[in-house]
Amino acid sequence: MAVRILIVDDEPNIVVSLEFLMRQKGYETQVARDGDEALAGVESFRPDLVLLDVNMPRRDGFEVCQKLRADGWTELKIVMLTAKGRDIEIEKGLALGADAYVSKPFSTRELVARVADLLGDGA
Amino acid sequence: MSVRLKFALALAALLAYGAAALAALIAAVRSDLASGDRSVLDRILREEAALAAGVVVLFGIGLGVVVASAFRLYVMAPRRLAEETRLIASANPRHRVTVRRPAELRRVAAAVNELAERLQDAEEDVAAQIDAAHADLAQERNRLAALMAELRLAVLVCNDDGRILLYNDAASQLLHPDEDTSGLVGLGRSVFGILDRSLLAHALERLSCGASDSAAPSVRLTTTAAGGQLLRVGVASVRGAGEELTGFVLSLEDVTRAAELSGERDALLQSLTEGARASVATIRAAVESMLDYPELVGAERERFEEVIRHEAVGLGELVEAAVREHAGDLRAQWSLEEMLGRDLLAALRRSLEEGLSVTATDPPDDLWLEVDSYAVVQAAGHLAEHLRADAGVEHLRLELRQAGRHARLGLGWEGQPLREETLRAWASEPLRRVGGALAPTLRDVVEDHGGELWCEPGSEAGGAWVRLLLPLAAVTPGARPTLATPRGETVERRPEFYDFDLFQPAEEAAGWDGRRLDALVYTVFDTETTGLSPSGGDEIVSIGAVRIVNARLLRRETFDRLVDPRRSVPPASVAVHGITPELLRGQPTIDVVLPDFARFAEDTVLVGHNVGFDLRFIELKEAQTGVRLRQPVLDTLLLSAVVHPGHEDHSLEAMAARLGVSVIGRHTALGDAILTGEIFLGQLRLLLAQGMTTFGEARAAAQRTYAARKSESLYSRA
Repeated sequence: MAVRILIVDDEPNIVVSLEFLMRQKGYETQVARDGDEALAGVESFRPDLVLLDVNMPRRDGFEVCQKLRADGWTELKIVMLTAKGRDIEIEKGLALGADAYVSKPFSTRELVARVADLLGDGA
Repeated sequence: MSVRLKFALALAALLAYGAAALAALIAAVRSDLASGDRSVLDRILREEAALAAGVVVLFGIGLGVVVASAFRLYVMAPRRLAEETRLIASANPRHRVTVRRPAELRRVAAAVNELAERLQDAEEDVAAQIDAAHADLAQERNRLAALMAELRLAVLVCNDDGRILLYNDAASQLLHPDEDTSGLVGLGRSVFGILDRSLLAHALERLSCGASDSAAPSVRLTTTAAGGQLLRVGVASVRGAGEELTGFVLSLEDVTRAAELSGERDALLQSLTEGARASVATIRAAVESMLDYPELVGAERERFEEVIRHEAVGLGELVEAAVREHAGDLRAQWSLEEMLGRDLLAALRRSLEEGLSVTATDPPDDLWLEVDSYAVVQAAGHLAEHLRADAGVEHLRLELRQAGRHARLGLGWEGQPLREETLRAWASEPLRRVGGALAPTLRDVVEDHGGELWCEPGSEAGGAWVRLLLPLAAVTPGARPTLATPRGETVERRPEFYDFDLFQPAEEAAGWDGRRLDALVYTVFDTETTGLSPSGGDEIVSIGAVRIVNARLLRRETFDRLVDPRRSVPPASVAVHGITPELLRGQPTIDVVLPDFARFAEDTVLVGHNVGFDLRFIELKEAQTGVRLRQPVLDTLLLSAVVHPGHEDHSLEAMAARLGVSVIGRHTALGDAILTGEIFLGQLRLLLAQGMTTFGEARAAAQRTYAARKSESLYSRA
């Protein structure tokens, strides 16, 4: 079965690239545009990894991350993406259970490598 | 027993003794005689009874006189001497005792007088020392009062009961923004009428309870005043000889505006960095995708191109918007205080133990934070109260440790972690804070610290922690600039004036060019006029000036004159300066006042704001008054463009706000001259800091901005 990736970001322009990159790597993708869609998406799509933007209306990435972990999604890999570059948010993200925390702007190759690494098929 | 009674009893006793002795003698003689002789004696006694009685009475009188005299000399005189000695000792050291007789007592009196002499000298010595000490104290107090009066910072000195012992003008202005609150600041009044008592108690406790090696000499806090301003309060303790607290000194700054500015700046910075990061990320991802997959063609490639174009345009707009908003002001640094982690934890523990049992893990000794400790204690108290009341928590664990580049404060308990919504709800409630009109929320406190707040399960089973990230203290605490808040006044604006060439008399200035800026004598002046058109018939109605010597404004060396303009004063101009035609009636005319002013300003550098305007008026009177000001001139408006090239607004108000000069008494010539003088002193410091030390350098720099502004003004008029 193909690896599934849920892309959560309210900016359609970045979603274009993220979706393209993940598909090029042969992953199956689905997009969610806010925190609520993300929670629903995890339930229905059952992804292996979530690319989760922090800055979103209503429910932000931190909250989604914490909720997912609290709901028992412990195996699910969570990569947080954020335009907030302060290390204080990195500390919060990791404390709330994210597996990786990537600041925008990022190198696409590094992001792809990071995702592959987390999914355990990079090496 | 009274002295008289004693005397009478003594005399009576002597007489009785004499009478008894005589009777005994007669009886003894009589018993020895033969009976014939005895009858002779009896007859003699009978016949000579009257004589015998007379002799006895005489003897009695003589005895009385002798006893009385002895009594006076050896009983009464010592008694009096004792009384007078007591008088010297207790009431009047200048008194001297006099005793003529007896000789023994005279010697005692001389000795007493000698002692009195010594006592008097000693007492006068002590009195002199006390006077000298009083004089020193008065001098110190006057010096302190003079120093405080000069301070722009509001200062209150209080005793340990919080009674105000000393305050300065700045304090009374800061705390009396309007009539309603007047009278709050006064000698002997309680400072708790002005500032929250619990806040001050917290500060004083910190002053006395800090770890001994780090005991802060002063504490900084933030609070709201009765007038609603946000105040930054510095508290320093005053200690007696035994190190006990005898009072405290408060310094107050109004940071309302600074806090607003800081908030705006933060918001701007955040929107700029977050927006830019997001756009750059999108562009980079799209570009790298296109580069990595060159085989992309057609619609898919166009989609990426459109994304890049769209994001690039957005990024440009973002930067433009930021630049527009940022054309603001000098931003004040919102400052938190440095505090040892151990002290913060101790303060938290003391506060939380009021309702719960607390176990605390000591933080490392070298953990320094940069926090508003009062706010953090309040915030933790707020959380603890909710945990107690809503979650039934009775025992709290408290820890503070370094986590990366932050300090992590943890409140832990046995139980379920809080849900995100619960924590969010608690965080948006105002903190319970005594007397605070604008109580911040827990979230405000977190944001003010640039911190983060979350709840997570603990590593052990069944435990939960609320975590609060707080900033660590910078390694080198630097001086933090603050902004005074100018009092808002609506002001008519004079047009910038370029019809008078400030830099024309260059040959006059040649001798001044090499002199140090801070060693020159300046006359800062301003005029009030009937209107804005010097060549259109408007006249001067008032000239005010003040001198600056050795970079100090001499408020006593002023020039302040009204001038009869010999024309009507338009109501529009009366509205600006408040000088009515009635006030001007009987005042001297310009041909008297201007020569006086020229003498006052002789051999000094003239300084004014938009000074060409004022000088043009004076120049037009040259024929009439014979006054031609030959000295060099500096314009604070042009200097402002030199020292603050990034700012558009060079009005007196804006410059005053930037330089931290408080604006009061505007629109009298003297008031404006003093304000201009204070601004000029601020500019002087900035010029010196920029390395411009001579008058020539400042003049050349001003001339360059003059040329630039003049051409700009000509273009904008065209």
